[in-house]
Amino acid sequence: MSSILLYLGLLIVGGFLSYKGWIHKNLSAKIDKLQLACLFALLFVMGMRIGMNDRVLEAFAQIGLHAVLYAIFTVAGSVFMVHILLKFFGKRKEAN
Amino acid sequence: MTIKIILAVIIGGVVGFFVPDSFYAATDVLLTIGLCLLLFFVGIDIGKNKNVMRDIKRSGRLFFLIPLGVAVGSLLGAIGVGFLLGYPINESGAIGSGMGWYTLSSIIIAPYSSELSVLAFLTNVVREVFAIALIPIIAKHIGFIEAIAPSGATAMDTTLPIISRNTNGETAILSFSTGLILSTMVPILVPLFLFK
Repeated sequence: MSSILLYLGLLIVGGFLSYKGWIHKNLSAKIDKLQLACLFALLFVMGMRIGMNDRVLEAFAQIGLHAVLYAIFTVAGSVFMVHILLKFFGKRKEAN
Repeated sequence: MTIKIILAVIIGGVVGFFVPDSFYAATDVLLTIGLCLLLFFVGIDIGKNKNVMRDIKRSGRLFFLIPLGVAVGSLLGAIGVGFLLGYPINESGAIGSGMGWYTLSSIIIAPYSSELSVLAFLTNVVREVFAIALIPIIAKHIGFIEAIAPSGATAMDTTLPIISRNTNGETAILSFSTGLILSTMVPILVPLFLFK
């Protein structure tokens, strides 16, 4: 919970500073590249954790197929349900 | 982009296989620092959009509607496939309640059954990988808001930058609030299915 609050806090602080125009323009201009660098570093570390966890590697052979099926159905169910709810109750506005 | 992302995970996985286990604790710190930086940068990115407050107000009922849709869809999907595979409803419900947050959901399930815990872990790892791969495709072909759905709880951290890059500022805000609501639901829903 504390990490969720920390992340939320940083997001709000970053957003507030940027909204007020208090972020240096050089940093602001590079924000896309910085986001990508962080993202790839995080994905690499995430991959490392999966590779380091023997339990996961062994389990992949045993129940990997079930996990893939569960993942497919939970993702499909979520996308479908959001799509249906938007259709009946949501208002669509996706103009860029 | 998607291929690069998957490659980063695979290369990490291969490196992780050869790295000593003692390094595992350090990855916790790396992930926390990385996520802090990332969310700060995402905040800056969102704040560059001067219409941000107006966008939040415009989100209106979507603020609750999207997490509700993701949660209900995830549970129905898990219970449905669990029925076909022969799992009891409560176990499938617990796996579906993980919402992509593989570390927490598997830890909560561990005292109940280690096998189910591993299944929850893998399901939600695979869900995150699917989300990373599918977000650009769903955003392009189905809709921006639907692109939040595969992420589940990770819509507020690891998959947020991908949503942000492939949709618009308004969807990125909705993505964060959706991830936040779903993240708070995980530690409530998972035990609800397993422990009486």
